[in-house]
Amino acid sequence: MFNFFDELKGNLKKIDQNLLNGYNLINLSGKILYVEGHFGLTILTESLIAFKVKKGRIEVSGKGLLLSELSQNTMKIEGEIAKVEQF
Amino acid sequence: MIKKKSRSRFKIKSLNREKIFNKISQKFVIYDVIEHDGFIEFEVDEHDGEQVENFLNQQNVKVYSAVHKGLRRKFFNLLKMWGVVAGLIVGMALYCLQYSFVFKIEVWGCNQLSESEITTFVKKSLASNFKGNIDTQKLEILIRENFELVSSASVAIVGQSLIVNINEAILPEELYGEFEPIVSRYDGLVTEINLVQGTLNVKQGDIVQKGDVLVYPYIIDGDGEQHPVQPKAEIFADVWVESEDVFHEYKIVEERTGRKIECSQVTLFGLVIFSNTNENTFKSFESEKTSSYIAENNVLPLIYTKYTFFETKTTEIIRNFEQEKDNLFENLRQKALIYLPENAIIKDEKTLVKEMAGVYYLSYIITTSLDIGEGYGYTV
Repeated sequence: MFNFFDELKGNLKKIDQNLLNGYNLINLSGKILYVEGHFGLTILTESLIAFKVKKGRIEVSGKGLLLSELSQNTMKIEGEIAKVEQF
Repeated sequence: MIKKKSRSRFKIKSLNREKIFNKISQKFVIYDVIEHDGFIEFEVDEHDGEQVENFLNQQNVKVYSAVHKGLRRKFFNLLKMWGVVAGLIVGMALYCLQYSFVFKIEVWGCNQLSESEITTFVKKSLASNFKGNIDTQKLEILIRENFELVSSASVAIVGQSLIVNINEAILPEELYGEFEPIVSRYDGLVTEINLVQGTLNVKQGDIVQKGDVLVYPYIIDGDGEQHPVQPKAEIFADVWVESEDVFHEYKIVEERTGRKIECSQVTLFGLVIFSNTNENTFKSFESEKTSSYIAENNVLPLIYTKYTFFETKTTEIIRNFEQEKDNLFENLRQKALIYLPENAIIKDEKTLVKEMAGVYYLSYIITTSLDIGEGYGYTV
């Protein structure tokens, strides 16, 4: 299976690899948010989805948020994503 | 590529759903988490469905519904339906079993032989309908031995049919049995005989009538013995086609003028209860009478009788035979030609006139040559 971040790590060898070992997010047009490296959900509602990451917490707020995929390490959120904040 | 989703969908209620999802996601991938009316619905891969359900039960999470979707699940569900499985197995077993038997016997190539006769014989010859017990070679020999007209036979099992292919022997016609004599189809004078086989009953110059035997269906050998044969011969004869007419030089014809008088009456048991009588003033007339019941149910047998008087007049017709004879004979000729067979060759034509007190009896005779042993019959 294609993994965007693995490709990125392979191509950007000069970048400190530790930077990519934390959490990684990709926001596609504010409609889909792909997350890699989460440590578990903390809040799950239609307007707010929050999850733990390494050294912090991320909150995704918006409308009609749907957790369309959740695995041990990754998740995919779909909906009207208004804001992604790190705490 | 279209990927068919085979997933299990759960509907649960839990106060600490995030914690539950975090635990589930440690081992399984969760899809499409939806919350409504206090319930949480989510999906997992179908093959993880049972484990997730067990996990939820272990966690004391109340599962309100667990729906397993996908072809694989449907197939396994179908297998769990023992009735269907049993039916399938029994059906397949019956199919395999019946495939081992022959249910139909087809006989091909019969022209003179009866198909049903051979079919009956084959049925009787078969020990059983089980394919394994059918010896096709033995059947072929049996058919050849029991049917003289069979020169060769091949027997094959195709599907659930036993195909018997027959080649019939071509026997001389003489062995077929009864033959019919050649009989004359017309009255005529025999003019030419070309005999191929058979025994002649007529000779050149004989006058024959329709139905007379021309050639007998046998030959007589040197020892005087009769041998049946199919009679074959061409018997040509002069056949006469005749048309006739009568011509009157003086004739009185009575014909209706078109004027008529009608009278009617109604009777009941013979008593006249109504009458409409008009006086008949015609000097010469013909009358017609018609009667019918007025009521169809015959409750009252009222009979309506109608009399019609037609005025007639008498006309004298005087004609001259000599002036009209050409037309008369031409009409008679055309009348005679109608009865000639197609492409018949006219050998001779002649007219006969017999006069008796102003009445002429006319005949037109066409002589043609025909093979009277065959062809088309006709009458004048």
